[in-house]
Amino acid sequence: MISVLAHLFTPQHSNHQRPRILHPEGFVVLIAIALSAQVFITRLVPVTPFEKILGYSSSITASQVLEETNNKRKNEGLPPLTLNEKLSNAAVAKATYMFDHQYWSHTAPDGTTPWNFIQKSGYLYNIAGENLARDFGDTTSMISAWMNSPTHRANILQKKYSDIGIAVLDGKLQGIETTLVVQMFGSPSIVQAKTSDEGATHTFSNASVLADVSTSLPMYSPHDLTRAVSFAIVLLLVYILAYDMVVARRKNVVRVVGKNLAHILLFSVIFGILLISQGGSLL
Amino acid sequence: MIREFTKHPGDYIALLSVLGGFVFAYFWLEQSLVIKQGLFAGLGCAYFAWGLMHHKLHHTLTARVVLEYFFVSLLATTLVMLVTVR
Repeated sequence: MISVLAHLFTPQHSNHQRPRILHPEGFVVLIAIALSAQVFITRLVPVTPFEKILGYSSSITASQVLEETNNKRKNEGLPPLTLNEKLSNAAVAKATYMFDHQYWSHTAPDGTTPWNFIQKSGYLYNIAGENLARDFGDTTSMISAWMNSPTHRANILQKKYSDIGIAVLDGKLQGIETTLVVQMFGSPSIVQAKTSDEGATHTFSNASVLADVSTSLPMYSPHDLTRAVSFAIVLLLVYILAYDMVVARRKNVVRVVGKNLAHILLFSVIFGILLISQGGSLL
Repeated sequence: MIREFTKHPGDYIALLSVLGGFVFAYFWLEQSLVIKQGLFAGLGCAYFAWGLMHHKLHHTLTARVVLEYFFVSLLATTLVMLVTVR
């Protein structure tokens, strides 16, 4: 066992003074491991808690989304939004519709817009908006992502809005187990429902169906698992490349192989990208 | 590492420029899915090309070296795409 590990990870005679994992075949194996892990993660995240072996749940809740959204508004000197039951119903309807029709967009393939859901809920508005998010593991990172996006930030900090509806739904979207968050914003009208200009007031909100979010299982998101696998591979490679450089220099080995320093620089950039990757997607 | 860098400063400055350009583009360009995919594919191709050029210039280009750079580029692109492109 030890000799196998040494063959894989340290430069020695048996591997031509280059760790086997750094041979072209070794990189092929690592690519295969990364892809296999991805398949494993996307297929084995359960549809129900008892179906498969990994649990998936996010820690996002509607109350947190409301609280953090209002905190952002408070920081800008804006009044807090009031949770509106009709808007929340519209948000839940929108999220359910997205799962049922398997799409990830503000407008459904059949042309149904966010405003249709708001109108059906009975909420009459002067101006309305919608924010969408998926695949985030926690509320803070999701709100941060929205705040870093100019259009979503504009919705959250829109002073014309007074109401908000939030939906947080778990389900399977386009083959990936995920948590979908819909935020719907509005300013009520007692006269007539009117759709606002899309570019000016597009905000997506999460309506949360709290009962759906919770399981007692560990909170693994597919994205976090994929990222963990990628991190492990990158860190392992950087360590072995650095170790190989040191050992080869000490042994004064002459080899015609790729440049370890160049590989380390490349994987350092990849590490940085993985580190700052937000995880979820916004619309 | 420093010794390796000082042996081929021009080559590594070129590589750092490519990697720096990629990081700049990743953060400053519009973050659409297509652009991200293009950036990652471009990074892989640029790194592969850098490896070939470097070893060609120093007369150390062999089939195994070509394969190594090809699979390193592919691995880097795969890892970053799996996490960031959805």
